Amino acid sequence: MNARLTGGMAWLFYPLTVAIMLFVLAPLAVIVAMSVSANAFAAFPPRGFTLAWYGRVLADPDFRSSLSFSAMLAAAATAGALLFGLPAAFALTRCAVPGREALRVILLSPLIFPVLVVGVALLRLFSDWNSNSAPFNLLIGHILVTTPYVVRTVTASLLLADVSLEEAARTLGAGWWRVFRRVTLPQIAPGVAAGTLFAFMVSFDNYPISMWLADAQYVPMPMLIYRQVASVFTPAVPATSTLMILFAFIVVVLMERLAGLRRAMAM
Amino acid sequence: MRRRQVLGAALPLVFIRGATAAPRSIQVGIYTAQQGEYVRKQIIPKFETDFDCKVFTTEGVTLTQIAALRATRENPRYSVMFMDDIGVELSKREGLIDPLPADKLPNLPGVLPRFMFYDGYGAAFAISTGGIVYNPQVTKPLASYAELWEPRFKQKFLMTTPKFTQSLYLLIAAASLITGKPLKEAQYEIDSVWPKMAELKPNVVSTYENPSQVMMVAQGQVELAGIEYSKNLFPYTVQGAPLDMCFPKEGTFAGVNCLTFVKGGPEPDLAAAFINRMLEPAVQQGLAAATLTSPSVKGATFAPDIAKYIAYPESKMNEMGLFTADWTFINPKRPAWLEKYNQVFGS
Amino acid sequence: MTATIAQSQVFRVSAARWMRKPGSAVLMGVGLALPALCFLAVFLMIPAARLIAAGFLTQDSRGALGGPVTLSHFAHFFQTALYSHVLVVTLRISLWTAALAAVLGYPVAMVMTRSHPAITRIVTFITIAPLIVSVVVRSYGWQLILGNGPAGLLNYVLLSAGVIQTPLRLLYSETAVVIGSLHVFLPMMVLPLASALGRIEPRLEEAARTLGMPAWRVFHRITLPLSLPGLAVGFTLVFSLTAGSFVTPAMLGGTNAQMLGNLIDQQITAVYDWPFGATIATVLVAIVVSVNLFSMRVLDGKRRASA
Repeated sequence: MNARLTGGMAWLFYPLTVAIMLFVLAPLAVIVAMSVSANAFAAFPPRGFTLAWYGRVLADPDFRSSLSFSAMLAAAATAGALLFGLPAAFALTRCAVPGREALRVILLSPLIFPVLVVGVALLRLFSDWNSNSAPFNLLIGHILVTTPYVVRTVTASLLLADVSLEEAARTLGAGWWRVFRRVTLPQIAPGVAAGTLFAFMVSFDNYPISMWLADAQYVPMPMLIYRQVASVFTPAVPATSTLMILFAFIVVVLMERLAGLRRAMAM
Repeated sequence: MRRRQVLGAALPLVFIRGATAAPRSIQVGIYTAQQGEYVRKQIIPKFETDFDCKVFTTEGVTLTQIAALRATRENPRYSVMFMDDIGVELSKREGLIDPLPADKLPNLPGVLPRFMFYDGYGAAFAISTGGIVYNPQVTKPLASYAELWEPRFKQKFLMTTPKFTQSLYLLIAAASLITGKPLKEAQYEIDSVWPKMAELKPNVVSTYENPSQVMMVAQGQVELAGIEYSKNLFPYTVQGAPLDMCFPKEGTFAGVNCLTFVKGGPEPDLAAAFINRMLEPAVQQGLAAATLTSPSVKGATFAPDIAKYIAYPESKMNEMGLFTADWTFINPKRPAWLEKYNQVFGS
Repeated sequence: MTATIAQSQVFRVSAARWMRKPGSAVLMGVGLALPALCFLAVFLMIPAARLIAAGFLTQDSRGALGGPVTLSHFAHFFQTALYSHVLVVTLRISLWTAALAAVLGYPVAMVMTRSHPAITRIVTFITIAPLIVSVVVRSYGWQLILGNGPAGLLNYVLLSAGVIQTPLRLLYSETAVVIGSLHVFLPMMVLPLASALGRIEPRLEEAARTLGMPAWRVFHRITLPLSLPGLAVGFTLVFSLTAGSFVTPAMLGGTNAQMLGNLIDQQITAVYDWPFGATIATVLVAIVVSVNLFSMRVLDGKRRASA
């Protein structure tokens, strides 16, 4: 376990962190404030107080189907990212593959490429292949943009894991799967958990890729929100965003329970 | 373990659902906002029941829709595409659309001749007017576009992004101001308009893409916004926001929403039936009243409290000087003008 | 010296000892990386190559790409003052955002990794939650906060408190874009940093303290260098993401802070000039790749130096 922050460091870092947390929360607070406004339009400062907009949003079938689709897409994309990313991270750190640097650059390249352009390029590609299934296209696009996050965090974890433990286990006769499951995985669990969380969130909120690959039937949340913002901007939009914040809370708590995310940070 | 099983069971449903959809379906690209919602919630369900089919829609503005058409050129996904008149010219030139199948469209003759475009490649179904947004509690409506340049509006004008068609209207208005010619002739003189646009720069606080930004006028952060379409503005006005639109004397720009027939799109007969449905008098009337836009067909009538927002009938359009531009001339020059826009208004 | 034991160990030990036969290590490595490589080759590399190639081709009036091969688009880009200006603005905003993210990220990451679990949980949630809120809505929130004139929230607060006399002009400036981008990408700095900080051997710091080193010195001489991998990851990530963004600059920067992402967006949606759009995209990619390569060199250099 890491040492706790004490003394001069604590006096400096805790207040700074509080200020930064306020900075992070500021626009979110504004959004929440707008969502309870009794006005017909989203404006600030809000006038009146009502939860009616939340009722409207939750009752809207478009909202519900969009939410569930986005969640499923994000889950599937995360699974794909783990499927591709975990082995790749291993290849980068545990095996003397020639051209490791080049490999790493390639694996992380989706982060570098302007996402807007990736979206259009993929649309062209899928059209050439006559691939008309939007869920499939979206899944590919989302796996593409989320895998680098998994590779990055798992690589960092693998680099800092204790290789001598793995070596010791092997010397004692454990097969490589056993070594992986019992020795390596627990050490890199924080990296995997962080990568999973990142991948899920990034997929859920991805607009540039979804913009080109979504179609009429399958509308991810960011498209729905953008559509509402471009429409008459009622407090329903901030209400939707507030619900998203709640959803994020649930996801983070779940991740913590399932994969010990807290352990990742507090060690 | 159970979690994974549930997820595993749920995932294929997403993909299977597509397979169990109705046998006949078309994809239509429609507009956003209120008009899009009306099409989705009022017009399409009846059409689906009448023809026993499914209509899937994607919402977007003209340029995004055309980009989608371009990208899917080899294997068109859409059957019908809504786009502005400027887009019809572009799409026709690039071979993305076919002429409307007049023989399958009994409602087509009902469309006013001024709203048929480019030799039958596009037929208008809704027309908005383009003008300047202002707050009637704070500002007087502009009598002339020249007032935009006045020093009293310093840093008070929110300009539409050069990405959108409306930005071109502003150039035409400026051309009309410097040449003294009516809009119809001034549009050919845009190349000389840039020094005048540079004079506008001190008044421009920024550009905007999102129609909801007109709320900044209502909230007093800016005084004027535009050029904007009435269909994006009047929904706020009728709900009581302190916003209105003025149409200076140089003329009123027409934001024309058109129906087009995608080249090689699936289910052409169903597509033609849908286009025909959009041009049906009852549908036109309902759409116009709900979204405060003008219908394109003859013979619609409106209650007085709605009629004041709509440029209809034709006599009123002529009075307002409703103007559609010569896109054949303008479109090829667009890239160069976009660059000039960036150069003039970038810092 | 001893600080980088874990890292250097990997590279000297793993290759030789992970597998009994070095050859099979390479084979296994290739095998493990192959799925990801194939996926990326098909869905990113090839479309990317086509895109970069488009920057050298000509587009006819129908929108089809073909010969002749030409450098005119690139020449146009570098010879027009507008684009060089946007390039500089993009670099400036991205560097500022990444630098500020680093400065703000350390306190948060330190608190995250060295506090009571309850505090860690709260800080983690607050840092991560905004990731799921649409960037369009978040930028709208910032517009209201940074609004020019007395109606803007920040101005209202500062004017009422008497801190300033005249309203600040923050909205529609590079500063506003930096603030907005910082808000969007801070988690991308904090999490890698926290991951790196969390794995630092606590005994190292304890030992230094016992030997009489003041706390800030420990931070400066031990904690900071050890967390460098995390910092490098975070810095390049924030830089890359900011450089390619277009929603935040559009909503918070307006005409005064156009970035390369906005230009690409215009070229693709408004003008559909693929060659020129590809040119701008290639320039953007080149910048970001350079920064990434540079940081990796620095990282590896440090690793090797301290081995």
